[in-house]
Amino acid sequence: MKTITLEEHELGFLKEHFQEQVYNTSTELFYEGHIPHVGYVLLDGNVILGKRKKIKDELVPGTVLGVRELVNNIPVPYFARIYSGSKVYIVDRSSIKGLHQIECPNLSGIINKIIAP
Amino acid sequence: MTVKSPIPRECEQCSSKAKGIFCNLTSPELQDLSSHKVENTYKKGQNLFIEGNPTYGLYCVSHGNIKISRMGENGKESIVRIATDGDVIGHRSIFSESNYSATATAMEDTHVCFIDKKYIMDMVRDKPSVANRLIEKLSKDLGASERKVASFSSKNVREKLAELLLLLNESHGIDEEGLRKINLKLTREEMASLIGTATETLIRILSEFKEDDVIEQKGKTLFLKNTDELMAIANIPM
Repeated sequence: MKTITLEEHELGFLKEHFQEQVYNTSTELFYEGHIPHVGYVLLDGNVILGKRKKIKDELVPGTVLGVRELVNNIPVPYFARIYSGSKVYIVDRSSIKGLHQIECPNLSGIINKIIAP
Repeated sequence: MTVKSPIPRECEQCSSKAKGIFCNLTSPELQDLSSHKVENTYKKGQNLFIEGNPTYGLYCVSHGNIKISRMGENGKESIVRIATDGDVIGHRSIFSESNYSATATAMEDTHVCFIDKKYIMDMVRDKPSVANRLIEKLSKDLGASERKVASFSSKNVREKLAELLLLLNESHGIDEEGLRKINLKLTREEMASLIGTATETLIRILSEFKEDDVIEQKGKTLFLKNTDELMAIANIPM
């Protein structure tokens, strides 16, 4: 699974369009083989990627997760687990469609970067 | 490694369409919904969402059963309701703009479609038929909650169990070998949680019902033999 990490200034552009969400309880963001319901941008805290109960990767703040798979309807071969207290931006299909309509080259650049196959 | 993408199920062909909130949409509207939703199959025990976490959409049960539960202060799980084919879940938290008020867990392999919050809010604004169906669902949920509260405060465990079996018959009952089979695998703990009693008490009363020839048990599956008698026990007028 390809993940990308956004720079501080890129996160700044998203801040104007997304609300920070806090997970109060640890949970799976998606299960192995599922298409993510929404994508995520990790702002703070811990998210792990794993396969068959084994941890494969630990994500760092700024990482974009699941957006490309959501847009392209691709099941993810990993599960993702978020831990309590972690903060994210939630990127759903409607938001992506809405962002496409905003005329801002910087924002378009970021959106194209995170949805590129 | 790539995982094969499942064949998208069109909303128009969904076997639960008639029972759902989108039943009155036109063909092009259903096609738009189909292209926007995300569908997945959850295995038994997998959570759709957890109580207290952020809300970002609504789930539509295409096929299967989902347990909606809340955690009590004593750490004990309390089952609020069971969502099945055509039911929606997560809608109450969307409209109250709060975090999820309960946890949703698949009770078996369950096919679920997810629609994000903004799309639903736009639909409620633009499509009165969806808004009406949602109001209908919310009203029924409220009615069921009121009945449950009334039942909890006025009925004894025997009456509550008879009422639960009748409700399960309504939602999950099928004809089999001349009896009504409750086509839902519930553990005794889950059944006890649904009527707010101890598992031991539930097992004792189920045994009494069996002795009285009101129900029959094959493995974990329950069959109703005499629904009239259950109605009498539950104090429900025929």
